[in-house]
Amino acid sequence: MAVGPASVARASLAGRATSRRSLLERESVFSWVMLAPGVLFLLAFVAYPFVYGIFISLQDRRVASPGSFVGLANFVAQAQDAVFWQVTRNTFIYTIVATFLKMTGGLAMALVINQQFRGKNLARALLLLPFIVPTVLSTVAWMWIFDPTFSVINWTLRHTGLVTENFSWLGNATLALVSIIIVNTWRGLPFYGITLLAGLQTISPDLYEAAAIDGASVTQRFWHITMPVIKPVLIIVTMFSVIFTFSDFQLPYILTHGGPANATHLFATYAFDIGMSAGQFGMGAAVALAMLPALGLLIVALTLYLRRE
Amino acid sequence: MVGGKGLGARTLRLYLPLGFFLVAMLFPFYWMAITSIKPNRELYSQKIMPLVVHQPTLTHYIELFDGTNFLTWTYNTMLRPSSPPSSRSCSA
Amino acid sequence: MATRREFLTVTASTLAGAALTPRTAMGAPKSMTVVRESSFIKPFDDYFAKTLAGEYEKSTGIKINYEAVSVGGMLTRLTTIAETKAGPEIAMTALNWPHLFDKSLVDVSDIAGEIGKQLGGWHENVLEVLVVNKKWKALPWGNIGQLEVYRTDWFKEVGVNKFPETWEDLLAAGRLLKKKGHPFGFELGHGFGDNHGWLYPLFWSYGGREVDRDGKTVVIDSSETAKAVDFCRKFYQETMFEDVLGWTDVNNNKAFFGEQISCTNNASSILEVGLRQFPDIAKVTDHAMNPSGPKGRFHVLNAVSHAVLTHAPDQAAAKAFLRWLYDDKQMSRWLASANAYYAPFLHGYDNHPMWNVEPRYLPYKECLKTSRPHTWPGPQGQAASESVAKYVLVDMFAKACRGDSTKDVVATAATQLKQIYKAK
Repeated sequence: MAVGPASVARASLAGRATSRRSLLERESVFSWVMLAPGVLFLLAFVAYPFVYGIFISLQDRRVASPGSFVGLANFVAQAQDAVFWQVTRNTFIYTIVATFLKMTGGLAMALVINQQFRGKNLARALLLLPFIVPTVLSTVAWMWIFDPTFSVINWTLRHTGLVTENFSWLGNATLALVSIIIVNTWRGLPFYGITLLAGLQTISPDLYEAAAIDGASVTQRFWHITMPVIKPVLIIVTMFSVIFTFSDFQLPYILTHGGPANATHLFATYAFDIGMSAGQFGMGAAVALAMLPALGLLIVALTLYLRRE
Repeated sequence: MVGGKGLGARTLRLYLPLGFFLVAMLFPFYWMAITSIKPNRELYSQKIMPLVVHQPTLTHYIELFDGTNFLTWTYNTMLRPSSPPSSRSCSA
Repeated sequence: MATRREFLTVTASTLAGAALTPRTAMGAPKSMTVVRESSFIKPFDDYFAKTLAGEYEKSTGIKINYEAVSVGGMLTRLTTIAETKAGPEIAMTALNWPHLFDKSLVDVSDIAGEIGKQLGGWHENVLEVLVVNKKWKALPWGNIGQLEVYRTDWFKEVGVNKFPETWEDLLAAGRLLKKKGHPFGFELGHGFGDNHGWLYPLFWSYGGREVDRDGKTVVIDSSETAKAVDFCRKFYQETMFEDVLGWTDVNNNKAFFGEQISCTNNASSILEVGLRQFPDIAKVTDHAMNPSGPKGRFHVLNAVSHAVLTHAPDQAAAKAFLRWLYDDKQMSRWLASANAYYAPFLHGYDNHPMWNVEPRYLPYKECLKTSRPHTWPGPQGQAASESVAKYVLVDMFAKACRGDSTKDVVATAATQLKQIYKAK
């Protein structure tokens, strides 16, 4: 009478309920459940477009038409196009120069704001602005600053007597590339600055004191104390920065739209024009994928270097 | 702290570079701000000194709210709050 | 949240609740969306969005939603709509896009026939950009003409009282004006309207052609092209300044209002804005037809049109709306609200009262006869769009102007065209 079929059933049900609860309480299961949204997001918005992009690049795919497989024909066609090589050259120069300037400028900025002074926090916040403000907004501001007719830079240079002529910031092919590099540097410098600042703050000032007492000069203190500590941070920041500079779109598109005569066309802007203005998705994808080898190599190289450290 | 404590050394190490960075980073925002309150006659003149506003005006702001769908666009932008983190760091 | 299980349960039920909200029933169209690119003329956009849409809703009960795309973004938006087969049912099209999106656009030949009969017939030269395989894929709305915009006072100062007839005459005037500190400013950069607006006419008026009529042979490498390129280089060096090489479509407007230039090629937006905001400059601004070259006088055709997308759930309803919109009763009023910015392609409107308001807009009507689409006389289609998107013609002239040799720039353009058109 005490142990009937109903109570046995109840007991086993209670047992199952307990084990279900304990399943979810297990760390490994719970962590996967928590990761799931993030992973799904990455799969849907990063992995899928990437794979689809490769798929399209192997097709002759025009807008609103079914594609036909053509293998590597799109890539071959690009390799034979002089404009593609111009774009490649532009992108490499843009990335290398801007990254170098951001690295040195960012480090300088970090060293400066690492010091103690009144209004230190306000200064750090203000200096971060170029990076935070949407690119479209700041690029339009720079358009007026570089404007052929009304450039304040030209006005200032002329009125301080440094030059007599107007510089054609966006009309001259070389200056146009310089201009987009300047804007990119301006925008990305705070990113380096703030990140390197975090790295600098881990260095105890006692280290510098001790080194100074031992007779180390400023440069020696820099190379042997500062640099080793921030090198890992520097490498990671540089890796991210290079990836996003290499694939930069908004800035060159708004400032010059690839002009004059393709002098500032980068991979992303060129791919966009081919894909969206000419409706040639296959070719556009091929141009966009051309970024992959260089970036891939860079990431591998930097990661190996970092692991070695 | 290490290094010269005098005003000269401090200027060289702190005030000068700090000033340079502040001006370099913030000038475009200053430029945007004064452009928004400059009247057309100053904006389109090549002879006038462009670094300051001589006769500020609110006409551009009035045109923005009156002549365009700015409020709708602002509303739209606010309704899409969190862009994915990956796109945020796209400006590095 | 005492336990993780509770947390998950709450989350899951919230999401489930959100997903299960009842959907509206599908049936006859309660509303349709029309997507257009913002024009520079607010009264024109408003007239459609508020007045016309309201009238249609009152008479048929179907709400017309208006989606505005920012200037320059219409092609991208249309590409997205065609690809995803979702979104607005009616879209504004332009240039040769009916060819590009041929498979996604509904045949509207019947409407075109009716309207043509009602209003005196269509201008012949617009047919080639929107009739694909003998079917009308869009209904022409109006032309956004590109003309010479110039300062009458400065031209008078150097003794030129009537705008020069030929390119050589314009060059002569430009030389004098540049010496007086009033150079010319014609766009040579990667904009869209104001560069093609004079470079194609210049090219054609010297007899230059990119490809032949069937697009199978590239014919750009010719003595006519070389003459056009040489003239362009001379024109740039003697009348303009380096900035123009990087100009996009807004720069010449700015330069004109900044009183930096005395002549440029533009749509009617300069005078339009001038009359509103720069009255002193507007007083001395006028329009003229493009100069003629040894082989004729040309203008570019930029026909704005409207089309129905094939994914529209009720194509008949969408077509009915367009039929109503293009009826003289509606079309005439809507055209008038644009202040002669659009030159209609119907002969019945050749004497529309909107042309009487501002005589300086009349050349925009005159130039219709000599307007040709980009890459004419080549076939309109994929290759034409690609050639324009890659700025083949513009860069050929721009590079020549900055100093490259004529032989090189023409050879480069020829190679590019051969690759794009897959031709010889």
